[in-house]
Amino acid sequence: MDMSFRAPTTAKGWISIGIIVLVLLSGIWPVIALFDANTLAFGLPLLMVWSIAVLFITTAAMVVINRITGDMGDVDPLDAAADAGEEA
Amino acid sequence: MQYIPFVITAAYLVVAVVIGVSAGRGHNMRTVEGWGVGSRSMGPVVVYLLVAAGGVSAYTFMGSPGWAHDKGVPALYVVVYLAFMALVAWYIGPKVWNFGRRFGHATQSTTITDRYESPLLGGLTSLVVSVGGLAYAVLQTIGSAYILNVMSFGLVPTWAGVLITLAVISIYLFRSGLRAIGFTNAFQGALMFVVAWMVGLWAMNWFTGGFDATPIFERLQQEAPEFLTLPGALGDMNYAFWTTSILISFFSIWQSHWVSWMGAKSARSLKQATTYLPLYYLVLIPMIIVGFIGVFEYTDIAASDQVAIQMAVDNMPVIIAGLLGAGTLAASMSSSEPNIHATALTYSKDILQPVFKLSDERTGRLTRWLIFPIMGLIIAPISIMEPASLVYILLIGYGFTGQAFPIMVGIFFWPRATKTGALIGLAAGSIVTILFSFVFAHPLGIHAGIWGFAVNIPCFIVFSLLTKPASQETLARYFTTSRKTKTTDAGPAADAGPAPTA
Repeated sequence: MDMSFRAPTTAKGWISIGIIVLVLLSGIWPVIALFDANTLAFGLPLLMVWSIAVLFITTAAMVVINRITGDMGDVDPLDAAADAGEEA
Repeated sequence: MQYIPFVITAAYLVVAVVIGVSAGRGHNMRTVEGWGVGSRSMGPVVVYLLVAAGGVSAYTFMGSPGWAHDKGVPALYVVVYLAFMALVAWYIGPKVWNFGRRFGHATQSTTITDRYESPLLGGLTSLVVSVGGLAYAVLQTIGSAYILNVMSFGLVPTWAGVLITLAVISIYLFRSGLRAIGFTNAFQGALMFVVAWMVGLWAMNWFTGGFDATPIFERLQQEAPEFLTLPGALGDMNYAFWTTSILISFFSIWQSHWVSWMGAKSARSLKQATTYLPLYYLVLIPMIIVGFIGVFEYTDIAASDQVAIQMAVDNMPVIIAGLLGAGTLAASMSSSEPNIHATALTYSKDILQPVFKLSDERTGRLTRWLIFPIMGLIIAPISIMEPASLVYILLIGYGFTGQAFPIMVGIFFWPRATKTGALIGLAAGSIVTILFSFVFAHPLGIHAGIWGFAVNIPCFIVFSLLTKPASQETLARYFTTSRKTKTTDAGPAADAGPAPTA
């Protein structure tokens, strides 16, 4: 049994992780500081507009990763492991 | 005429009972599988609203306008953290569902017991995270009782409101378990979304004469600009606290969320539902705008949490006021009942069953009866007493829940993690979180839970490396996948375990 930390092993996996990290950064410092201003956009405080944008960015990120990886959760990695064992 | 809002609010309770009771038809509720996880039978739409409404509490209708009224834009941190919690549900949820289906797990603690081969760790986690869940359920029950009190113009005293709310929940929760939560949350979730936008638009039109929020915020720019930027009007939400509050919420995986994920009929339907979950949290925006209007209209309101309700009762048409009452009640109940349900489930499966060596059948029969002592002996008396320390209990609960995150990492990503590392990390992190919540509150403006991680994670790693891991058989069940399988290209779900077969 390989006891090491399970990191992605494919480019698609790493791209997915990169997208998730970017999404997380979009909602916290230092990115949030860029939108922390006494300015209105679309009649709303800039930080409110950005918070709404974070909701859409997060959704878009999940849609994109679903498409990149083709993973819609319906391939059970444990079933796949059993199949691989049989093939081996 | 004045009681029409109360009648609408009460009618909501009747509808919830009808939906909840009928949700369990055709399912055996005497088993953990049936009552606990709804026989894993719910489709993506119900799961979407189940998880979404479970994340939206009375905070949406009371707390968020209250924060906007008192502090301004700091109220928005909840919008961001709910989006990120959806990301966790999307990433972890399908893996959890697959474990549940394969190993028959219903709760987080059962998975912990199995993965770490430690009923002690599973039982402790069950007990510890239930503190947060129960405190949350108590707060929501108090919120429900408050709504019934206000909408009835004092006719329903708080103690009666507590009993009515819990009685209603108990009827359908006992009868239909997680399916009741799923289907009532679907109704509650839709109701909340419509009501929040209806109330927000009405308030905007009432205050500005149109549906453009610009006059509200232009006036704030002139008269109180501190409401429009961090750290907010009270000066207590700097960048460090904003960031770390969001991160600690992101890392907190609640027992009730875990159990809700298990109710999906497939990992695919869970993935589909959670992908679009952040968009639901647009529900908060109109209520936050209502809070900003309250800055001008209810300058001196004693309890700012009541600003939206007060505005509704004073000014809105009775139908909208009634719908706001129903929506707020729905928000309270939709987030309290999953915690009551998850606590009953984990107490029976993860504490009583191993301690008293009960059979699966007997545990299944016992589980749903546990909601009565939980509601009658814990939630009802504490809700009626409304202790001042309740918020502190909730904060401790949040701290504990967050500190369980490294244990999750050991389930999904790190086979070398051991029960000793997990126990010591959890204990150390929780102690630091409590200390930095109440004794030295949030040093350097960083959330206490993050300080807890600073101790927890090193302890978790070091003591795991120093102690014996779980057996190869157990680890093989959790981590063995082949690099040759198609799932290695399947992204996050496969990335959890692309190691060579043992």
